Amino acid sequence: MGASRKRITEQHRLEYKFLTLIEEWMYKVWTELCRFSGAKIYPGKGIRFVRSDSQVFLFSNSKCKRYFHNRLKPSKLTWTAMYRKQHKKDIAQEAVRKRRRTTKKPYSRSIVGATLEVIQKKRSEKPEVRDAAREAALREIKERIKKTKDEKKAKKAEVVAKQQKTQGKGNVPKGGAPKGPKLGGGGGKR
Amino acid sequence: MAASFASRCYRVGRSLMDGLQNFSNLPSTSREMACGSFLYQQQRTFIQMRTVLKVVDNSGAKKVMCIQPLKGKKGARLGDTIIASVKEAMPNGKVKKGKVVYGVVVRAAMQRGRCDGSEVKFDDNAVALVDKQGQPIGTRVFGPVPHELRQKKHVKILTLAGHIA
Repeated sequence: MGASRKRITEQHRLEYKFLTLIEEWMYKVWTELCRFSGAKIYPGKGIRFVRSDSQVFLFSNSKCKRYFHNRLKPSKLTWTAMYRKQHKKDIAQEAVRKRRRTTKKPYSRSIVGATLEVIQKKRSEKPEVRDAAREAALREIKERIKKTKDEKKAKKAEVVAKQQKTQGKGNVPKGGAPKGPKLGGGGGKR
Repeated sequence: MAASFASRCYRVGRSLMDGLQNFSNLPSTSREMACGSFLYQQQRTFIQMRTVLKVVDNSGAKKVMCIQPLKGKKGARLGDTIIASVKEAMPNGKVKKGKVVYGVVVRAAMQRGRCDGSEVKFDDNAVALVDKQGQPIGTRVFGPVPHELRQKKHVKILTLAGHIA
């Protein structure tokens, strides 16, 4: 007896739930927009006018309906949404809002020549570190240049010394030889 | 003073106007005479005896005059049945002039409240001819047709309709 009663009540509850769902579906539970003024029409308000050509007009109140039937143009009435759109009111605000949304973010992806880790390391380097690295590199280059310069100078000095030593023996053949390395040294210096 | 009179008029219109027997002349002074003044608000009322309605199916009749609204002390509304006499008909049609027919009101200029609280109103008064059992005589229905017919069990007319408002 108790079990059967329990079953009945559960079924009843399910049916009731089903019915309420249907009812919810039948009732309008969303806001519509007035065809004339652009205002929101909440459920339970508003007048719906169906013209003979099957065109449906929704009015938020009898004011809008009256104006519509008296053939007034919404684009000429200051308080309607159509007028505001036509005379471009409130557009600056919307534009600002839209601009804020699009901000690009740096995209991390590995490329041929530099893997993701290398890119991230380089990105996260502090500026001092970068400057120090740059300076170190520059110093290196300078040293290298100096070294080559010194070498070339040394070579030149050697050649000149040799020349002085064998000056008595023969100037003419040696005349050509110092010219050669000198020219090369001059080119190198430049 | 004029404003208060007009507003009173509007409020009074639906409930008391029918008693005054101003039925068909008010809807006929139509919106075409669009006046800017808001005193010209139209009081739309019920469909009563002598109301001329348009016929929107292909049964042959064009205009029909209401003789008796069935089920309604004040008059017929959207979705109700009426008894009518055919005033104007097409030469070859199922229905001839002078015949007494039943009809279902499919469009009414008077607003009808919907179950969600909003109101619907159409542009004109129109009827679809029907036999005594409620089956439509014609095979097509023109123009928009309201949801309310489903509740009144006129499903056949709904299926014939081109546009359901």
